[in-house]
Amino acid sequence: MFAKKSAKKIFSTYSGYLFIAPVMLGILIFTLVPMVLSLYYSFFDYNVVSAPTNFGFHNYIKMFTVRGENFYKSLSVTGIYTVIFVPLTLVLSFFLALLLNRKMRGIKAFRLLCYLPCIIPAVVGGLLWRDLMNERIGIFNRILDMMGFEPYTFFNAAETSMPTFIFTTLFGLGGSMLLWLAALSNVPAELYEAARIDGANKFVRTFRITIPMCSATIFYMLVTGVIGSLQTFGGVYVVTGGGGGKDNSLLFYVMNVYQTAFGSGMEMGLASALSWVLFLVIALLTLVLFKTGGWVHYEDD
Amino acid sequence: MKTIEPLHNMRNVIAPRHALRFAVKNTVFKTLWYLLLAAVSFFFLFPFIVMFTRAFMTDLEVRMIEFFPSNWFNFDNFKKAFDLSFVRYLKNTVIVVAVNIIAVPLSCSLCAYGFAKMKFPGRKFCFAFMLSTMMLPFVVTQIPMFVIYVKLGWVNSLLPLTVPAFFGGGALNIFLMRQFMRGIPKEMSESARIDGANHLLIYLRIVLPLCKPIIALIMVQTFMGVWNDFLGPLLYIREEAYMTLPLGVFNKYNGNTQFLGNTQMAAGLLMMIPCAILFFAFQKQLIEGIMIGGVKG
Repeated sequence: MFAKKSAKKIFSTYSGYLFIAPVMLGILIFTLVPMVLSLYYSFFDYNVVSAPTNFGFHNYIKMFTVRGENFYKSLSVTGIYTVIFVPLTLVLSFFLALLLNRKMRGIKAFRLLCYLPCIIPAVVGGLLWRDLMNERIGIFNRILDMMGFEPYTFFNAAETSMPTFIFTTLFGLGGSMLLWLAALSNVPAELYEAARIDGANKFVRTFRITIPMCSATIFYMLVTGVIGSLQTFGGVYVVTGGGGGKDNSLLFYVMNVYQTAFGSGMEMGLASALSWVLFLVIALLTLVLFKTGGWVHYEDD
Repeated sequence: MKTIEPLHNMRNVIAPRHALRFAVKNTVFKTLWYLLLAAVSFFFLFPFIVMFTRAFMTDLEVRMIEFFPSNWFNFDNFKKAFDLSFVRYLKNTVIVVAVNIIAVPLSCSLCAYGFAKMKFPGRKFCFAFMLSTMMLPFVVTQIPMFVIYVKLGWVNSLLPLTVPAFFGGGALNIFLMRQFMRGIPKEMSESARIDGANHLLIYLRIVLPLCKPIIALIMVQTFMGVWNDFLGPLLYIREEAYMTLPLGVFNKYNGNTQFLGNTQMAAGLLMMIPCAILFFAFQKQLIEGIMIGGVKG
């Protein structure tokens, strides 16, 4: 009698685990085990077909020496992109949100329009940009020609690839614009009224009220933006056709990992080492961002 | 010199002539604002304008770099794009999407119920742990996952794109669903418990039916995400027979000089139809979902 009751009690205490079990199991199988395996592979030569051999730190040395050229190139491409893309998106989507944050007839339709390009799948976007930016039969060069400019090289020259790629990402501003709008709508109207009475002009109001009150959203966009752009891959893959672009001008870090792992060499060990380095860089940067996040104002609720 | 600006409505009372000037100024301002909005909208509509115009052009018109097709009822490109291989990719995509839109809400609602309605030791830790996995970069897991799928013989099948859905559901989805379930009054489940119902029964009979709105949203988001997923298929599928639409369309048209922009855009538009319909049908909820995701994060 007593044993039966306690068994029932034990079941009711732990039955919650049954509900979260599938997801927890999933995290174990599809995230934790692969992460450990990846660390393990990074110390070996491994090509999937034969067993891992040659234990040591050689992969971590190789990436800086023998394979240093691609590694440094990918670091600089990814770094430059992140440093330009993240602030650019933050600022432009802020202006876009300000433009759309007015109570006017049809403003919701305009918001929807600005978000619309975000529903274009990466693959279709890739085909579209390559078609538009074709040097001979692309519409962009036709327009430039009509306006009396020289044809632009877009993805076909090393110097113009990165600006072109960044241009294509601007069509995705709608996503961050929505986050800005959500943040702007949370700023209490009394603050603006009080500042107006104190004689603060629009400029001062924007910098002293709007931006500080939106700092939590800015921080969120900053962190997710940095993490996301360091891992840029799909969007580049479709415009370069699976390579690093002209003269590796778009050899993003993850593209380098992909080529190392799934290219002809199948160097899974080296690729795992590369991916762990990226993981550590991301972890470190996230930590730094959170440590220096003192300027962020959180509403206490 | 700082002067105190009078309140707008005060102007009407104090000086009617100023009010008229204000109204004119306001109209001019509004018109300029709409012009600006129109210019910005044109920028964001541009990709769609190009896609639609290109898709109806003949090969000659594409080569001549025309801006508009001469015949807006020229469906040849769509016919050309909707070929046997497109149908094959479509079939694979439909299978993968169908499994995912059932499995994802199932696994994430089960998990959310555990976190929202049940008490067990280590609940807080498990929840934080689950959320933190959201931050882990996919790069670190993609290589070992590929190796695991090779060993299991799952590469070149739809299994890597479907099976994980039963064990996941996405941390953000679980988070949103837990929030939703917490909003369901305790009395409803408590009274059922007194009547002798167990948690599984409460989950199935009481909580799930009440969660319909959030489940619908998660299904729509999953549909759109899986339908357009390119990375998963790219890593695990090499054989054309198992390709889904994004990979298949990319594989077929990328760098293929046999097809011009018109056919490519027609294929792209065909591929986008289901998601576009869903987007317009659920735009309000989808946009709110994005906004909430940002505020909570």
